Amino acid sequence: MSLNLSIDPLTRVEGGGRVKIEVRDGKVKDLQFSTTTSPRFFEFLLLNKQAEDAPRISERICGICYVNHHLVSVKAVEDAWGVEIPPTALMLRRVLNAGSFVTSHSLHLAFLALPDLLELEELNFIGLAKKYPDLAKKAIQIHEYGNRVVQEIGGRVVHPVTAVPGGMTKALTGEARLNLLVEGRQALNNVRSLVELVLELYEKRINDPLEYMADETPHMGLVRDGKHELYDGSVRAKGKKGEIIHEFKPKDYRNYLEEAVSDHSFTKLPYLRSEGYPDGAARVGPLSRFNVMDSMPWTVAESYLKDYEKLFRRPTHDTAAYNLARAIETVAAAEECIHYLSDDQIVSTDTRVPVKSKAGEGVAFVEAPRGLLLHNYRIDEDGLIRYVNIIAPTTFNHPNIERNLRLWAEAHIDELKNEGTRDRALWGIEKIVRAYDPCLSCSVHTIETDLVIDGEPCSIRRFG
Amino acid sequence: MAKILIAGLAGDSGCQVATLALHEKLLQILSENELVYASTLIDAKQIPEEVDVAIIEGGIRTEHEKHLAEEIRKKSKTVITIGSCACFGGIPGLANLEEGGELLKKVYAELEGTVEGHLPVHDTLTNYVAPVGNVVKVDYSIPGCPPEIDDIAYVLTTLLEGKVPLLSKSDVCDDCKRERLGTYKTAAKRLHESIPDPDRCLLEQGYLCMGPATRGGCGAPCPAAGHTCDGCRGPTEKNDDQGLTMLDALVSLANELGVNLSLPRHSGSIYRYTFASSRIEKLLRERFKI
Repeated sequence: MSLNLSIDPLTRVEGGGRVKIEVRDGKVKDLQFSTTTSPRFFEFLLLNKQAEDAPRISERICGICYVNHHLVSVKAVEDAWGVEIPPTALMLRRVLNAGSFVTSHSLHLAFLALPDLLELEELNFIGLAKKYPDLAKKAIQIHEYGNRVVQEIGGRVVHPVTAVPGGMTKALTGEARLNLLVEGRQALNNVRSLVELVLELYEKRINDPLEYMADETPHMGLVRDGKHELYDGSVRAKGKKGEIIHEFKPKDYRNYLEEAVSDHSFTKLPYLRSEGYPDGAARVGPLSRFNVMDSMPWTVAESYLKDYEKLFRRPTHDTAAYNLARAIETVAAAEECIHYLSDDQIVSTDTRVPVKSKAGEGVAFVEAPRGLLLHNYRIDEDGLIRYVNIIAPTTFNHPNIERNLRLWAEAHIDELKNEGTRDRALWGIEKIVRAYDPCLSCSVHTIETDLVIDGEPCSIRRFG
Repeated sequence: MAKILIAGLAGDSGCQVATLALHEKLLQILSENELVYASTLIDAKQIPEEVDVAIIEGGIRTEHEKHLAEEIRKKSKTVITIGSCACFGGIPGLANLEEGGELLKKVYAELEGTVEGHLPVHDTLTNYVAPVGNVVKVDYSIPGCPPEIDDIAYVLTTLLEGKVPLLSKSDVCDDCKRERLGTYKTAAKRLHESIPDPDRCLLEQGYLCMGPATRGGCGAPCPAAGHTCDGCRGPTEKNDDQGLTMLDALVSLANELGVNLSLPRHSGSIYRYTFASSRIEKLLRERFKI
């Protein structure tokens, strides 16, 4: 007796994706999580292009993580050319990156995840706006604030332009800085209410270890002096038992990371070389950043971290912690914006140095909202790109999401089999995928493949 | 009460994210109308039978996307393409220098770091990226990568009021506040090599700014932010081929380019968003079977 279930398309996630489950003889025989966003071959189309154009071309990989692609790209080119940027440019980039976290995290929380956490009748942000108009208003202000930061510093709301090798093409005016500070403080207050709501929901939630689950996996994220970090620093990896196994500089990444190729999904599968595959497939993102850091560099976020630690151990493997960690990181990001905007040096007009292109190889990491992001370029003497490697966060998370779903499906096999409980069980699956906030357009290496199904298609979940 | 659909094809969802930045205005539009499909926002899993306004983001890279575009067209009264991927193929169209099967080979088998013998079989990949208009009839287009948020608001509200939205007929130079003196540098400069005068036309200073060849209406935010226009809104009203228009402008502006044009390199500059709908790409495909 065989049963084929599918969730196609996955909704309230970025990009296209689906889950297919085959149940046979009362067991999960196969489960596939795949990206259906079509491949766009960025690693090919960047070849032979002028390296200084890479930040503007490669950010089109993703309509949500564009700021992070823009910045990691310019950092990789600067690494290849040995460029030091002026301190003001670094501050502007930090604020820009933090602003992108404010936007992306608030979008995910309010528009995609909160409808699930609140178990709204109308499971989307329109339903949220109807039932909790004040909350929706605050969420919109937070989201708008992140957009304003990106627009002022990056020159555009979506797909900014200002990061060039050598610095930033636009200085921040005194007036814009003041506005961003005032709005930033308001945003921080609103983020605090949002976090308190999420905390309250988590405290009330019956701690059901079966709600999200997850295997023990390694975790990876950036740290600076051991602290939570979004823009720069070194990559820290913790093993399944929470021990630090590596802390390495970006340029050494090949000594620590390897990429396998899956037989069924043609996703490249990056993993920690020392742990082998699949044990070394590390998770990334808010939960992983919380797992690898020692502490928060910002006071308000640090106080919420204490609340988090009452609910989850650090490190934890429970996927349930992703959403709470994401909420607290939104506080950290707003605090980071305010911190640098409060420094008078941010309005200096010394934001760029002219640089010369030369042959070389560059590697850079940043944290994107959904996890660690790598760009690696080789550039020739004319300043043209000759080799590109990009590892996006969802590429790291992909095999782990699939394993997480499989573990969950095995534990909830009866609910999946029973027609009366099936819809709720499939919702449970979608909530897990959503917790990772996967960016399915970002997983540039992923190609959809069809399962050869032995048995009859049984149920496609329908809404509305 | 119009039924609205938003679908994403080969693109990055950036246009949908730009649409979200309408915030209260979007909530207002959605309270007066009905969002029937939008996989990033709501849980509907099937394209409904009757749609009034369909908004399509992204171009065509797979057979699946082609069928989806056809299905949406069949079920919708009005189809709008949003963003330069849907309108012109966009940045993914730069991959059209190679045919689909060759791309798979390059990215999965020949690129350093890949494992030999694991070439994916992807039957649904089309040979070339195409704009949505090559596959189905499109009623209105909102170009840009992404389009300006005001453009999205204008087109949506105008259409929902039953009127016809019009695109700006200006070019980006018409919008640009930089000063033009009519004198030109003779050699092309790359933006990282020197710091441009903040008030003077970038093209006149020798930087490859796509302003003259690009549809305006955006307010020229990129030159205002110290960077060149990279042409994201596609060709102007009067021209259909953005790269040729730019070359024409360059020939009449500068005495000497100081650049040897090469397609793999300069397609990224003068055809960054429109290579898949350019005359040169068609020509190459017909003559040389690339």
